[in-house]
Amino acid sequence: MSTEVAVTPLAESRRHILQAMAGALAIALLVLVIAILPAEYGVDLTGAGRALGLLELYAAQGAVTETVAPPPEGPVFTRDAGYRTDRRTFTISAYGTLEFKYALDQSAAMLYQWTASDPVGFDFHTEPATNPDAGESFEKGEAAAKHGAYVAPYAGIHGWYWKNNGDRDVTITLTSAGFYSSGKLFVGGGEGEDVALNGTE
Amino acid sequence: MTLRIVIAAAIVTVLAAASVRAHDEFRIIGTVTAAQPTQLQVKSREGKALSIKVNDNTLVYRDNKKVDRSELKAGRFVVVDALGDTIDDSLALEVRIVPSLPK
Repeated sequence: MSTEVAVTPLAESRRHILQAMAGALAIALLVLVIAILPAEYGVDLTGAGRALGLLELYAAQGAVTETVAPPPEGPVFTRDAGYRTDRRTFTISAYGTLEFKYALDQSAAMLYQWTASDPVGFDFHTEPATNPDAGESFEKGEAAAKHGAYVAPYAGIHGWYWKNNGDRDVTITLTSAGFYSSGKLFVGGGEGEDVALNGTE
Repeated sequence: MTLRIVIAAAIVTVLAAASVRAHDEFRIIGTVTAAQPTQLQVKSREGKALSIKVNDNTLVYRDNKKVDRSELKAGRFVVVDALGDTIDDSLALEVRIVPSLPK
């Protein structure tokens, strides 16, 4: 009695593997573009993310960066309550870091200015209330001063991470006005601590 | 068979893409106690022993000039900027060799 064993030629096996790899890559790219990018990163290249409701998944993470339109009454809008001002000075030791953020609701605005005694590394970023891990960085660089306006795209804490890259202490003075409810200071990482605001209410 | 390989490879690729997440940034200031090809041991100024991953993308600077990773030696005072979920699993993006600070 003899047994016949089917042997696939090597070249044919390679061809199958290559076909499989190409097919896998094509499917993966398709899923990436249609599903993962819209759901995870809010990037909707094909429009399928919006059609399938995947952008809402991303929005649910608290990280949607859609343009915040002024309210229907026009570009000037008033708020009955919640306006505050704040001024504070920080000292960052040589090579040290410091983080300070304000709590802002969605669409809440603030004006800010900070100046440093030496140029420092900075990163203006967020921690969304619904998903602190889905924070975004809006401006990074090195500067001795910055001033601007900010409208929160979502509720959460929003502010600066400063890095002293020099071998001497740096003093930073931050002045702001806006519709924030509190401030949080982070020194050396950790959970941070709520701090009292220094201005008018 | 081909179809199974296609599906398996697609699943792996999709999971790998989906697992990309943001990390926290850490700054570690201290003295190198040991430097290995993939790990840097640092005793922080607070006296804590820390282990930070390094790889070929880790930039090393001395006097504001890029230098070879072999310059990381025990006894050198460094400022490390690293990314990770926690400080213990962080990967060094940049290591600057600087003069030590007075205590």
